[in-house]
Amino acid sequence: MSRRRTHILTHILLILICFLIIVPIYWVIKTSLTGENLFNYPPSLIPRDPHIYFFVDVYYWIPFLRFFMNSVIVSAIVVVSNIVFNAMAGFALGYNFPGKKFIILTYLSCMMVPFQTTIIPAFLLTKYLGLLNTHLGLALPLVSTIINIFVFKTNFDAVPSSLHDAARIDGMADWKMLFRIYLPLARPAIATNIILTFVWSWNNFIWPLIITQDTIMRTLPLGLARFLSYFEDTSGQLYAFVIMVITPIIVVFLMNQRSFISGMMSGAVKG
Amino acid sequence: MSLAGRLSEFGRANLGRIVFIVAVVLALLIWNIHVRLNDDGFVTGVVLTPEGDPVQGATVQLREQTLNLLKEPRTEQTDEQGRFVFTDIEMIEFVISAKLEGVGTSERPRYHLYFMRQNFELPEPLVLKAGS
Amino acid sequence: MRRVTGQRRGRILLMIYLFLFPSLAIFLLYRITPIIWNFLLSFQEWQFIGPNIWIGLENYAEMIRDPVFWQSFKNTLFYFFGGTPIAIALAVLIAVLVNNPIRGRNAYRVMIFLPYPITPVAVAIIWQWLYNEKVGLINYVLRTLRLVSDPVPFLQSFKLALPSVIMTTVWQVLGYFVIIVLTGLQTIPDDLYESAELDGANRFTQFFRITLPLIRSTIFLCFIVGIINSFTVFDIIYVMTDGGPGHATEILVTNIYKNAFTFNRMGYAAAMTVFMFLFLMLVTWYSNRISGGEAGGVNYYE
Repeated sequence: MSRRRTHILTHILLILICFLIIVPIYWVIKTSLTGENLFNYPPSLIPRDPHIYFFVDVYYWIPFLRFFMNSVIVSAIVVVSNIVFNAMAGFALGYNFPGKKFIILTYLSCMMVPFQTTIIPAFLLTKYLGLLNTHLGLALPLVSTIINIFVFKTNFDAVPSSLHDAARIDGMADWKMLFRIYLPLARPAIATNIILTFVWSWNNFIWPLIITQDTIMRTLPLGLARFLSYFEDTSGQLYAFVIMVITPIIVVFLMNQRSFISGMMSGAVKG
Repeated sequence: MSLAGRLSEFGRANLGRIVFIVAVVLALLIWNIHVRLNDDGFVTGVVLTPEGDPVQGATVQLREQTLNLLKEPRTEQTDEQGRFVFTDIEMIEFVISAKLEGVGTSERPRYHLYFMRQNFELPEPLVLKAGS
Repeated sequence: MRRVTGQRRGRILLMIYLFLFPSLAIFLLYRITPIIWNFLLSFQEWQFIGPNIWIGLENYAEMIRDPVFWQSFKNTLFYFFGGTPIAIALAVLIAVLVNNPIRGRNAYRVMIFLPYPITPVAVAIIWQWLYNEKVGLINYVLRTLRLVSDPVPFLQSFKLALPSVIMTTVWQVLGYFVIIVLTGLQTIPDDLYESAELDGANRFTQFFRITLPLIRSTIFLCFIVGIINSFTVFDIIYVMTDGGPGHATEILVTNIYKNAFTFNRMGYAAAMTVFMFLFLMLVTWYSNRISGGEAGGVNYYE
C-alpha cells in the first residue's frame, strides 16, 4: 500500500476511535446544557435550546463552593507537602550513609502496599489523632509518595557533582544546596510531582468517604456521589455537577498535556 | 540570569497559559461585579387585559419552585399602571401568576434566575383571561 | 554518590536523617503500621463500639465459608482477566496507529488520554447513564440499529453487570496503556522495519514478527498495572452498582469496605484485607521474578 493510502486509513481509524472515546464526554456536556433525555424525543446532536440553569441550580442546591474549596485546600496541602518532603528525601538519598540500604528497602516495600489495604487502620489512626473530618486528616495519608521521592532522586543524581563540590568549597551548608542549587534545576521533577499528587488528591474518593462525617467537609467527588443518591440519575443538574467537577482537572490537563502525560508515565515505571 | 531575564523567559514560555488564567480571573471578576450591582432582589412585571389595558388591583402571587417543600407564596397588588414589585426575593426559581375577581386569571409561567436576588423583570406581561 | 566524610560529617548526617524523617514518618504511620494492625485485627472480633474479643482464626474460617467473599474474589480476578487483555489489545492497536508519522498525532494522543485523569466518580456517573435501560445512549443506538428488540438492562442483569463495569474501566484506562505502549514502540529502531520491507515483508508480517516481540516487556508492564488496578478499583464500582445486583459486581475492596464501615465488622474486614494484601504480594513478587525485577512499584491511587 502506498504511504498516502495508509495514512488516510490511519486517520480514518483514529478519528473513529477518538469519536468513540469522546462521545460520552460530549454527551454529558450536551445534556448538562439542555436537560433532554431520550425519554421524550430522539436525541439531537447539537444542544437544542441550551441554558445554564442546571449549573445555577447545582451552585445553590448544595454548598458547591464549599466542596470546591475543600478539594482545593486538601489538594494544596498535599501538593506542597509532597514537593517539600519528597525533595528532602530524594536529596538525602543521594548521600551514602549508614542504614541507607535499609531505608531504601523500606521505601520500596511501602510502594507495594496499596492504599485500599490500609483503609481500616488508617481510619482508626486518624480517629485517634483526632483528625477525623478535618482538612489535615483528609490530606495526611497522601502527604508523601514514594514514587515521587525516586523521581526527585533520579533528577538530583543527574546534577554534576562538580556543582556540589564547588558550593561546598564556597562554604555553603549542604542543606542549603537543596534549595539554592538542586531544586531550581529540578523543574521537570517538580512538575511531575505536582501533576501526580494533584490528580491523586483531587480525584480521591474512598478516603473522604471514610473520613468525613459532616456534609460541610466533603470534597467534590464525594459531594458528587452523594448528589446522585439524592436526585434521580436522569436529572440535568446531576450532569451539570459532573461537568463542574471534571472541568478543573480537564483544564489543568489540557494546559499541561506534555508534562501530564510524561508525569503519569513515571507513575507506572519505577525510577 | 537576572530576575528580569528569568521572568521574561517564563512569560514567553507560558504565554498561552498566562493569557488563559488572566482571562478566567477577569471573567470571574466581571461576573462578580455584575452580580453585586444587580442583587437587590426585585421582581417586577405588569398585568394586562387581553386587549392590552393595565389592570389595577390585581393580586400577583409569587411561589418558590423548590424540590419538596411547599412554601408560602408572596403576594403583591398592582398599581394603576398594572405594575407590581416584589422586594427581597431569595428564590432561584419561581412560579408567578395574577388574578382579579371578575376579570380572570393569568397563566402561571415559571422563571429561573441566574443568581440569588437577581433583579428580574418579567419578559412577558401577565394577561388575565376570563374564566378560571 | 556523595560521601559523608570530613569535618561536617556530623551535621550532614543530621541533615540526612532530618530530611528523611517526614516521609518515613508518614509511611510508618500509613503503610507499615496498617499492615501489622490489619494482621492483629484479623484475629479479633470488634464491632467498633465495644470491646475487642480475641477469637483467633475464626474470622478466616468464616471467610473461607463465606460465599460472598469467594464471589468478590472471583469477580476481582474476572475483572483482571477480562478487562486487561482487551485493554492491552486495543492499546497496542491504537498505539501502532498513532505511531505513524501523520499530522495531528499529538491531538489524537491527547484525545485518547483524556478520559484517564477524569475523576472516576464522574466517569461512573457518566457511564451509568449511558448504560441506562430507559434513557441510555447505548440502548438507543442498539435499538436504532435494530441489533436488539428490547432494552438491555446492562447494570441490572446478573450476567452483564460486571462486563459493563469492566468496559467502563477499559474506556478510562485505555489512554494510559496507549501511552505506555507508545513509549515501548518508540524504542524500536526504524531500520528494522526498513530492512524487513526490503526483504518483502508486508505490514502485517512486520507487526507480528518485529513489533510484538520487541514490546513484550511493555505489554508485561501493562499486565502488572492491570492487575494492581483491578484489585484497587473502588470508586467506579461503588458509584455505578455498589456491588449489585446481588453481588455480581462485588469485588474484594467493596466487600471489605462494606464489612468495615457499614456492618462494622472490623475484624472480619481486616481478615479479608490481609488476604487481599498477601495475594497482591504474591502476584507482585511473582511478576517481579518473571520480568527480572523490571516492574516494581506502581501507583495505586486511581
